[in-house]
Amino acid sequence: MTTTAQQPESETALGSQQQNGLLPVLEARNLTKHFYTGNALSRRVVKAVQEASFKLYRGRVTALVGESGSGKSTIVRMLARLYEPTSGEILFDGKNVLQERGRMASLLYRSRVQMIFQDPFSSLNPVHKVKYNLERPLRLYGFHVGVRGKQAIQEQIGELLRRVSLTPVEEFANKYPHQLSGGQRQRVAIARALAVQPEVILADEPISMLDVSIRMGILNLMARLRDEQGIAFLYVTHDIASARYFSDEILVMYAGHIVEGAGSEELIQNPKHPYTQLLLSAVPDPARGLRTADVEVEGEIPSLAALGAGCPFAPRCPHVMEKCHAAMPPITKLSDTRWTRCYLYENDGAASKAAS
Amino acid sequence: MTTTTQPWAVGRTLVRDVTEPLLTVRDLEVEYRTRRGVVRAVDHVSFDVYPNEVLGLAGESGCGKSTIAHAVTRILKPPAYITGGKIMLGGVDVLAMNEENLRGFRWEHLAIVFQSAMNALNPVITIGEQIVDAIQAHMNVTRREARQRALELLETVGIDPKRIDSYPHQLSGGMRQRAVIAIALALNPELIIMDEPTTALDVVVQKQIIEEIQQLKRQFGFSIIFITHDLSLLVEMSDRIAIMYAGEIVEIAPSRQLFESPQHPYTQRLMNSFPSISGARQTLKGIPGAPPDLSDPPPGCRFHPRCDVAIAGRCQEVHPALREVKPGHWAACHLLDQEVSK
Repeated sequence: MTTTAQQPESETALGSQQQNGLLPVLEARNLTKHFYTGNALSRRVVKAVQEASFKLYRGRVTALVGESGSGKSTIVRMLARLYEPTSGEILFDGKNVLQERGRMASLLYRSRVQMIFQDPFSSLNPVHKVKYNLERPLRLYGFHVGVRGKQAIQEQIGELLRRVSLTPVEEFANKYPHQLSGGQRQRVAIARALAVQPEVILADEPISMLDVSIRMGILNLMARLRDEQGIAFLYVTHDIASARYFSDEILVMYAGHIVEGAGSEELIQNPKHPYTQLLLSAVPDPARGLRTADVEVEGEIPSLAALGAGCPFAPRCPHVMEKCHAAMPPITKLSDTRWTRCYLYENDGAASKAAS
Repeated sequence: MTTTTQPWAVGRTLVRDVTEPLLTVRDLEVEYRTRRGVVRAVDHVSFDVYPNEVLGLAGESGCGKSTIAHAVTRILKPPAYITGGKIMLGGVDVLAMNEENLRGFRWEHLAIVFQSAMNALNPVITIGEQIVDAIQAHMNVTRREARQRALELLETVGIDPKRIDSYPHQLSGGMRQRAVIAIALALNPELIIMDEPTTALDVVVQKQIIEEIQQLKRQFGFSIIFITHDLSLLVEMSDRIAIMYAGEIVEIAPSRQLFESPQHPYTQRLMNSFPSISGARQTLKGIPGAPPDLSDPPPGCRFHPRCDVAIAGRCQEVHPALREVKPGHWAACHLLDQEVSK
């Protein structure tokens, strides 16, 4: 992975995918997942994710922000090949992985795309020491990453622990998960993900169960892995402030739809979609001082089993129009780095299309 | 112990006319007696809550903030025991009460709202019935009168009264939490303890509930102890904030002052652990290490192993007491002495 050098260093250069001329490592195209519930007489469709499209790049963090039940974890599980998408494509280095068959293809994909879970206690095997938890992926995938033989594996375990700052290595290797703090356990989970030298890490709420004082340490560690090893991250969170801190790009999800995507700073400074505006106005932030422009919105996120044809935010939206109830707005590209799905910006899109 | 030099005695008097505290907690000690030994979860904690005040209690998991909530409401269960201190609510000695007195005392004077509304509500009984039961257990009213009151309460907390016959699972998370708040309000208590009431909710719903709580507080004039790990939320909604670390209060101050000039190194670094959506994007360090094991707390200042400004030979040995840095602003750190002596 030598792409790090090509990555823009400054935060202002975060956005443009075209500018850096890189190809996405992982791409979701119109990913859709429906769950079927009920019985033969009353079959209900839960539209968990609808037409989600985005790209992940090496050395970049893309955040997926949304409320609980908005479908962000379902997207992660589809990308991790834990759920089969109802429709849509997943492309890894341009190849559609959903069409690949066979155990080797599956193993290879899983070694390139790793997951970090919310609860580091249940994601580690509690009856085994840290070193065993790290040894297993090396034994299973050693062929792929060039780590073969007992001694090489032991050395690699030490290297992994060093990389996640769990030193002295010997001491941590011989501990059981329950002897570690939450933050240390999450570091082991990250080390385990790194064991197979992944190109993409899907991090599903990796800090939300940790104590406040150790969260930043984990985000800083992941940022270092992005910069030093060029790993692409999908950072799934309900906390948009942490998304701003850690990610280069933010995607906002509401009721199964990604409604807006933009470079982190421009999204935070100038949210376009009414839902993004609502979300940002609701974040407690004493540094912001007295709040003046509160967005007044009633109601809660709709049931995914009872979604109409229109925009799912329409019933709560302060700018709702007639057509919002009729059909989901198309994607409007506002610039090279941002887009939204909202009829308010329908006409803005044409201008930027001509410009680009 | 002279009252004027204690942290809880100052503060509110500067802001309000109400000088008599509603709740007084002095040197509270709570121990968990486990097989592995005695864990002192709350160690000599003292604070006051004044009428119509929101006192925020902040700290990381295991710092003792929920244990305080359970101690004040006397719902601690073994292996947790209150081993010392005094709790007075409206002049009544809470720790001296027997079970029968407590039953009347809870809900009528003091209510508690927990994080998980689903666990606080009985899943097989409608929310209306649950409010009616709470009222009838304490007041000599007919079922019809109690139901009328329940309808009013639902309206008060922003639930459509038509939902009175709904079961908890038919309500969204936010609505369930509102229903729990309605039960807490049923008997018009003077103090409501809210233990992470919005932690399980999404931020938009959280904001709606917080605004509702503040509106209700203005309307009914109760006091709140608001417990959360989310310091940003506390700064926005409380009058004063107490910061807890490893079973102790290490700093207590009016909210804005605490936010603008935190004095304890732990508070300062905790503040530097929250990413913000405003201002420049800056590197946040968090705090190295993890909170201590309370069955064997570090000697001296409990924060010293994680503190990058600890004074060698002092912080490891001498336990710092709370001292007043500014009127109403107290912190327990040896560094503050040095500044005074300079």
